[in-house]
Amino acid sequence: MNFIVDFDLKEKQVLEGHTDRVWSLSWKPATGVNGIPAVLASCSGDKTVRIWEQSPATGSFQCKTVLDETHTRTVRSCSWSPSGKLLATASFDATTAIWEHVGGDYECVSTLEGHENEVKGVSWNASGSLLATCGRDKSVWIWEILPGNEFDCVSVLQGHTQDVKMVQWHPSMDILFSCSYDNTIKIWAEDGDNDDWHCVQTLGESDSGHTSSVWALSFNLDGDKMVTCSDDLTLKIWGADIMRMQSGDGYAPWSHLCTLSGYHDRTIFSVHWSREGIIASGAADDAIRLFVENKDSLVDGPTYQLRLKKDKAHNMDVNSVKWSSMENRLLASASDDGTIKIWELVSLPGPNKLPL
Amino acid sequence: MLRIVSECLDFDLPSTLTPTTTKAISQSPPETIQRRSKRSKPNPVSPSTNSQSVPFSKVLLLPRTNSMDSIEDIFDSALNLEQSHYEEGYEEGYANGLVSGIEEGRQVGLKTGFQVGEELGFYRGCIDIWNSSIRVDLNHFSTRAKKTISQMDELLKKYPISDPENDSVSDVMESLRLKFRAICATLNVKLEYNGYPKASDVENIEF
Repeated sequence: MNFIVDFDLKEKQVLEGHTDRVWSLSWKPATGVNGIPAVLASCSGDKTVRIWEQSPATGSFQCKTVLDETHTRTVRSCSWSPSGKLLATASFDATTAIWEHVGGDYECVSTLEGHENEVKGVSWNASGSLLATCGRDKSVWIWEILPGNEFDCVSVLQGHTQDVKMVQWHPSMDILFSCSYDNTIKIWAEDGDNDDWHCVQTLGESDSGHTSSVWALSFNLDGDKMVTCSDDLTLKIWGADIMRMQSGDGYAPWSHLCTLSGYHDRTIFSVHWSREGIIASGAADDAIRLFVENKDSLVDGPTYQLRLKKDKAHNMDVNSVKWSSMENRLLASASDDGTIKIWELVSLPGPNKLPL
Repeated sequence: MLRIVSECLDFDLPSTLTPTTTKAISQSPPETIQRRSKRSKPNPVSPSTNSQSVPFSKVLLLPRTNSMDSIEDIFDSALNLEQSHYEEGYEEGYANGLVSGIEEGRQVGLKTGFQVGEELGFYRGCIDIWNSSIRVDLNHFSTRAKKTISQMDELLKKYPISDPENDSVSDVMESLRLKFRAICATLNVKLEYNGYPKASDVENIEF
């Protein structure tokens, strides 16, 4: 059983290099463990993507590669494939580029075109066979990767009535989640096995949903809960009976469990749930907040506590917060101020012992 | 066909009669009404009213007898002057509106019909080329592409061309557009024509 006392985020390093706001971050899977140095990708309004690698000796991150001269506009989102072999980057130039690490250098092996305008999000499914993109044209595209880095467009999903901000696959099932400027979260699943994708559920205001743009969503380790953040200044926790779904019993709907309000006074742009159960949020007030589930609670359903607020984490809006997937408890944050900060979660000795 | 359509569109009409105008003719400048022949009798389509005016005799509590009917009728028309003028104006406006509405409707119908026909014809042409290409070389397209092309073919045949008021026209058109975009993305081609409808708006919000 993991016990954690009070904790703090210690600022370990400030990564500078981008010449415009940094929009998104992605930790490379299977790095930062077994002697392999941790690798982080960041993308920016300066139209480039930077790959940062941690030095095994000093523990500090250096910029190893700059992926430029491909995208002609802001790169809005980046995501490593589950195997770490490919990096997908989504850009305002309406394309998504796929990069592969070949012979010490990154090469753009494929370009996915199809969106009518700015692509805002990109996400790989758990097996790495499918890629989803979303954009300002209100559509969500699903692509399948074929041998030879060929991509087939599986489906174009319309349904959102506004800009789609982010897409995210479920961590264990091929179910796609998208969140949008139209205040809803839509869940898409395939009917049988014949490329027939459609919206199986919409989480809107009437389902205790958000009352303004939903910016991001993140799943917990088990995949039975997700947290969403919004312009309406709240975080919402949703849950579903995924045991039922995984045993083949049909689709189990997601329902609202809890709303965390009153903790943020500006738009929350990013949220990420760590493997240990800590929810990190990055907001427009330049702060990072950490929330943990309150297991002592006697009320129905889970409740969450604000455990830490890092004021002035950056000089400007925090656009993205990402926990590293390794046990090194690192948190990376990206901001409008053009910097990326690496934080370490440290435990502080104290009288309060709360189970995690 | 195109020439005939463009000639039809060259009608000489008052500038108020564009497909986006929704004003009825009764709101247009008075000259328009004066050009038409002045009608004294109500249009047969609209309900006739003069004979069904409010019986003011009832309101004024005058006893109604047969001998007084003719006098009543004369007074009725004088007493109901405002009402009868209103009704006459309404009927005239309604009648004029009907005529101009039909004209406006024809313009909108021609324009929309042309746009729909152009888009459907474009898809038909693309599908025919793709099908020919598949016949020449079966392996040229991936299985998925071939499946989507045949699905689009089916969908196109299902489009109710002769029944424009069918509720499913917008749904079928949306599905066709989505399938077309998916095929173009898979084949990695950019196929368009001038005036191809786009789903996105023209705002430039960047976040």
